[in-house]
Amino acid sequence: MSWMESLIDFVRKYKLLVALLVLGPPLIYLTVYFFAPFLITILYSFGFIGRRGVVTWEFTIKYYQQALRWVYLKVFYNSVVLAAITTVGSILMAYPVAYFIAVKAPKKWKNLLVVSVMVPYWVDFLLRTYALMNIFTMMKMMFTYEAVVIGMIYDYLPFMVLPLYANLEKLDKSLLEASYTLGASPFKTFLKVTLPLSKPGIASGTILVFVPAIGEFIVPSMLGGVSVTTIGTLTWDLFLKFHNWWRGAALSILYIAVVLITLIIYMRKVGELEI
Amino acid sequence: MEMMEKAEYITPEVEDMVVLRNIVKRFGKVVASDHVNIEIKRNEFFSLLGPSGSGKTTLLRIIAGLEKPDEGVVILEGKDVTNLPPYKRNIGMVFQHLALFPHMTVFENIAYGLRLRKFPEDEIKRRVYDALELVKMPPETFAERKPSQLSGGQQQRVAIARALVTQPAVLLLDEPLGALDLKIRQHMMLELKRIQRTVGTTFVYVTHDQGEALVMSDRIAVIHEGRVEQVGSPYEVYEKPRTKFVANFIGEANFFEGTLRDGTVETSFGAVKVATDIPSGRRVVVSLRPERIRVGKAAEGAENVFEGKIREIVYKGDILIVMVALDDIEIKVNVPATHPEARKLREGDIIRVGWDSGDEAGVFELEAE
Repeated sequence: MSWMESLIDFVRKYKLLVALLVLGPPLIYLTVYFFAPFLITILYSFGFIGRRGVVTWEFTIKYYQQALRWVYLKVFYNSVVLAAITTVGSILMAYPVAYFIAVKAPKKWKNLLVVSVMVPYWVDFLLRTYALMNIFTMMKMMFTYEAVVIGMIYDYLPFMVLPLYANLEKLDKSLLEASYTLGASPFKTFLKVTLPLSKPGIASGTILVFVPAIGEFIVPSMLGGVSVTTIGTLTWDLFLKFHNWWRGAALSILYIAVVLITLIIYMRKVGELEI
Repeated sequence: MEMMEKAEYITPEVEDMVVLRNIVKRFGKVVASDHVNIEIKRNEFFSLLGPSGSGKTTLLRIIAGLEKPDEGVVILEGKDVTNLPPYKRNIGMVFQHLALFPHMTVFENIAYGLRLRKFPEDEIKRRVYDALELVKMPPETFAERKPSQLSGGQQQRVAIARALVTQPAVLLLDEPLGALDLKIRQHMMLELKRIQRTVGTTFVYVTHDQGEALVMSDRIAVIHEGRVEQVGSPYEVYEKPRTKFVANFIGEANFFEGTLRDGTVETSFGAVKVATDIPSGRRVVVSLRPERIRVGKAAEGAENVFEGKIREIVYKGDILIVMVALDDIEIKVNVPATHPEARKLREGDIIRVGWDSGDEAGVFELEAE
């Protein structure tokens, strides 16, 4: 029996052991570096851990009560609005680009065009944001809400372009031709065929942009300064400026809950749309 | 039925529904249409038949307005539509892969063209139901289904209903049966013919399958390398092919070459009497259908009689295909199973074959090729 056969034999005999060997490392990795910090954050938010990391075993919900104060809820609201503006803005910017590359551009140019959309994003995120700061300073727009919105859309645009492109690329051109022969102009064809069929692309782009945009803190803090407060900048301030880890933790958990619920509702809606 | 009665869009004085005049279309260096002239009559089932890459689909797309010809004129119902986009032409089209809108129900798919024409909702419902009845899809069962919940044949029917419901002047069909399996395909051929007879709309049907074209068409245009080789009834293109290409492409044929002298062709296996008005002294090729050749006793008394050795016999139930070697060429003969000598034929036997002048499908000048 060759070593290969004995290896296959071993795998057949000890299925569970093999599964553990394969799944073990990622499981350990996830437990230590993903679930543990999350658990610690939850413990902080309920006050189980005191100053200098001492475990106190005192359960309290007062940090949640603090996190639910009116000012914080307003910040929540601001973050969701900013994320929504970012999402809508990036759909409006990304759709024509994705449509042109996927439907109109000659086949041999497609890959090159997709890459050229991505190229600016190979420069580091922080560097690009600093570059934007230069532009906004020249335009005397620094520390305004508009600057933050433009910066956000700029940073998230590829996450909208790519899923839209992937969706529109699959669009069967004969559907458009069928629509023309049935009497629909190109514009009506877009409204009645192309747009409804690209809904899954818009949906996945929205998830990729909207969710991280709610928690975004670098763009608002660098381009908006103190004029724009989001859930991201607030958490950052609570942890690092005010050293109030407990309230910061409670706020983070609330944020995760909000995003999760929004996402579930959204997925349900998208699921209904699915063809 | 509604569709037959309502025909107010037809201008009765126009006999030719579709006219292609001197159409030229190039894709880069490839000439897809090479000065094509075709007239398609009212109520006709007209087929564009040719091998793949012959340019037949391009012609259909030019009629639809999906391609613009480089030269020439497209006339629909007597009006020059060369520069009109497809959505301003009075046409319906059934696509090769059907192109049903996947996000719409069967009802919505068929209602699409009617909604664009702003019909009232009750009128739309009536017409959609009529169209579904026409293609034998009970509306109660199918109206609310999505295309993905239908079989290939059912999708086919919906695509036809969708294209016909707006009562177009011409229905263009681009190899719509290609994706179906043989049984459904044969059934749909007869269905298409029935639908065409019922609604009386002019059908222009693109296919590479000579069987489909022969069964369904009133007339056939045989397309080869962007040119029209012949236009005629199924009988004409089969029995009186005008070029060697047509003789070869439609049905089966034996070909042999020779020099024409006073009504006989000097071939490698002997002199063959032919009926042709090509002048003496030309190099010609004679085409002969396998079913026109008689064997054994039946061959006696024919104008052309030869003897050859049977190379191979293939049993096909209703006929025997017998390959007979005549000197250096091999000809194919279809012997009916009912032929008195059919069961006595053996491979290796010497057999007599014969046919009369006039039995040949055609005699073509080689220079004309």
